[in-house]
Amino acid sequence: MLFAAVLLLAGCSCNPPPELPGMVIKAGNGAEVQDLDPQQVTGVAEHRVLCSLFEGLAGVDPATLEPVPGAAASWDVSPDGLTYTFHLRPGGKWSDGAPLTAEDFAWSWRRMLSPRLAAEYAYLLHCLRVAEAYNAGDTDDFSTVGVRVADPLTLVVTLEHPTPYFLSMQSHCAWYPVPRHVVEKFGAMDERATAWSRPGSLVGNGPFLLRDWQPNELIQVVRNPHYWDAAAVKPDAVAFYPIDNLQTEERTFRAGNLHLTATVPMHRIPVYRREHPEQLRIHPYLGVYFYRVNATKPPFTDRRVRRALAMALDREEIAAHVMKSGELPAGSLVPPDTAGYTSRARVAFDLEAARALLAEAGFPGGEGLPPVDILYNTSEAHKTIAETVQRMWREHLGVDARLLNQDWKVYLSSLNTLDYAVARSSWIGDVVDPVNFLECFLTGGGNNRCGWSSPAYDRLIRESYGEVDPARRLELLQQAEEILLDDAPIIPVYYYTWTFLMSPEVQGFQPNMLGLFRWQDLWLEPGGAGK
Amino acid sequence: MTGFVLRRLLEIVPVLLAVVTITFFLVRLAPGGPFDSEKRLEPKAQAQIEAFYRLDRPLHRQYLDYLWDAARGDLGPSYRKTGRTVTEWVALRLPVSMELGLYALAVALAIGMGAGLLAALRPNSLLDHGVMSAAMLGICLPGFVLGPLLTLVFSLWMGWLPVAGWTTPAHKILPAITLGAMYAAYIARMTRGGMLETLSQDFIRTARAKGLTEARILLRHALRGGIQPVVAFLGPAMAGLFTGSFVVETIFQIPGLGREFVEAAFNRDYTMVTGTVLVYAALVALLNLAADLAQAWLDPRARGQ
Repeated sequence: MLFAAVLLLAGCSCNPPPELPGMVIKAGNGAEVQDLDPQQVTGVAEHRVLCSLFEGLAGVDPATLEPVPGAAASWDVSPDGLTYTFHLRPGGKWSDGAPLTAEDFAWSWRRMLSPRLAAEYAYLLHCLRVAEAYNAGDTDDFSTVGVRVADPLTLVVTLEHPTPYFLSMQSHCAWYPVPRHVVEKFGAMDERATAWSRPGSLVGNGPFLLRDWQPNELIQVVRNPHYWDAAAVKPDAVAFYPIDNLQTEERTFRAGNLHLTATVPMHRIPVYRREHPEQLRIHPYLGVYFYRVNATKPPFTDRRVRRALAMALDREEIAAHVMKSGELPAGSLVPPDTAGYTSRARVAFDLEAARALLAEAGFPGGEGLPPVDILYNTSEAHKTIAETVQRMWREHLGVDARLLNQDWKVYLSSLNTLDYAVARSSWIGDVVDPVNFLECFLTGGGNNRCGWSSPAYDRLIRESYGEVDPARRLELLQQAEEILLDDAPIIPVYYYTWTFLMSPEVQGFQPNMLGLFRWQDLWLEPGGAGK
Repeated sequence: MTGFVLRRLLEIVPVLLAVVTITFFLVRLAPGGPFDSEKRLEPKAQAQIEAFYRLDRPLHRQYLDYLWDAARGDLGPSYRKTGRTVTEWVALRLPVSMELGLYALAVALAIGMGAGLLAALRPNSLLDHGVMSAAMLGICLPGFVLGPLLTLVFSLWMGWLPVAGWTTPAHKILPAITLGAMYAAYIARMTRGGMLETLSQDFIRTARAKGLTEARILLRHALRGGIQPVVAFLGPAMAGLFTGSFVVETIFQIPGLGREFVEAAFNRDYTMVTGTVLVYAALVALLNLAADLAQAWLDPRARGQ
């Protein structure tokens, strides 16, 4: 009888989603998505799916990352760079056929900024006038915020200060419109976690529409007939497989059940290099791997100690021999060529200077320096790097380092409470601009996490906010990064690469620093392996 | 009999209460919270989120609220996977894990009892040693080795079965074998032991003296006593099988409860952890009861106790 009951219960899980006809791109998507409400998510996995379902006012060209028309056909920018007037496409529609208007964008941004919704990415919208105060709940008058609907197809946006990356940022999911007529059916505007984003209810304005979402199994999106550029959408459907185990994903790819993966297990990279180089994709990525040094904890309060540790790392060796997937050794925080910015300052590998600094600080040959704990969250790669750093510090400086491994949440809590000496860290850019990296280290900033403070640095960053002249603005940021690297609360290690597997059948792919796929541009050419 | 079952069911209530209480507080004692992330949340936004999930209330209030809700079947919202409640997640996931568990159980019983019987028939023979060595290997070989090994052979080399997923019957073969293998090994050893003990008893000698065929003695008279240890083992084992195996579900990309539970623990998804532990505890208790009842049915001596 128990068996019968179990069979009956189990019976309800036996409804395999039907195979989609036509050209279907099958993509490994890493983690299971948290939600498909663009205003409630933060992860890469979510963004990869959402950019198929929604579209901002502007998109980005995947090759150049320059803004291109999206839901808006065109825009005008005022000479002071503070006012943007967007002209929406006449006849633009949601995927259920409802008209898409300027009012939809204004309402969506209001929802994004509403304090009760507590959207984690709301800060990206703080460049709108008065948005920060509205988001913090200091004012509840949305009409003061820099968004105005001039007519159903015209949206006028006023910014707090000139933001050179404002247009290219429109392709970030924080700026996507959400359908008021659907969201309000399932709850109040600012209510978290309602059911509007489930299959059957979710309505978007992107090139695809949500057909199915079986949690931990599959997300399927199919062509959206109401999309303004539907004729240019190449695949009939995209299937996202949330396979969080790297080995399983790689095996699934090898068996021919995926066209592209989210990532590659580190130990398989040399194998693919040797046997299937045409399937291995390695591209520069807008992210940096670095070590934080706790600037509030002696002896690291002494910048000479921090600098000595930074200068004693042979980054070339770490990138080439430890990481092995084309990572570039990092001499700065901001990855090179980020929106035309490449840091002038670099942390050098200079053993003589490092030893001299350490001696000057009172620890000649590492003598008298208490053991340095290197904190990292559980991962094979982090551990290998930490071991290499440990060896380098011991050999080059005579500094004794110990490895300290913590589970992800414990590690985050240690970072937040400054309960560490040296900690592995990383930053992935949200938008392609150096300020997105540099503003992390403002005094007291939530992402500072090393207790470091420099009034001169803060002043330069804040000054850059108001600077209209692009060259002058980048110069201010250059000076700020010089201060940061010179004071060394962080030790850059390497710049990330976007490493994944892709079948040669897939055509139309453009690599870019943001790790973006434009699903509508991809198509399959069976036997495309000939290339 | 009814009184016995009712008493046992009533005993489950304080057990569950204790489990919920311990889990509720332990998971909150772990460092880090559900909303810590790589990019740090603005303090005001964090406070709003905590208020939404009623995490700003005093702990004892949260605890009492949780108990009151749980008693009515509401296990609260998941913090990490927004848009669905824990009750919905369990309803979505548990059947998948149970289905996998059921297949694995079938594999385990078929292989385990078959092998155990074979070994018991000819104790200390080459067959016995062969089967028991294989069983030992099965116990020692963990799922995370066996699973990828099976995939390598049957999926990547032979191309017979899919690598991962949970849609068609073909998808379910390798996970069932991987999960069932370890239990099969235990069951084989237990069946052998139980059968050997039973076969040495007087009533078997009597049966032999009456001239019954060996097959009839084995299946009709000895088996009933011989599988007693297996039945006792099946209660907790079934609970383990039905609530999902993190390893097997991860290797084969199966959307079951086992993965959900481990992920939730890593994410500090308090409600999801407490909810899944509660369901797990209830299943263990109920299946143990079922195992006791089955044992009583098999062995008249146990009925009186």
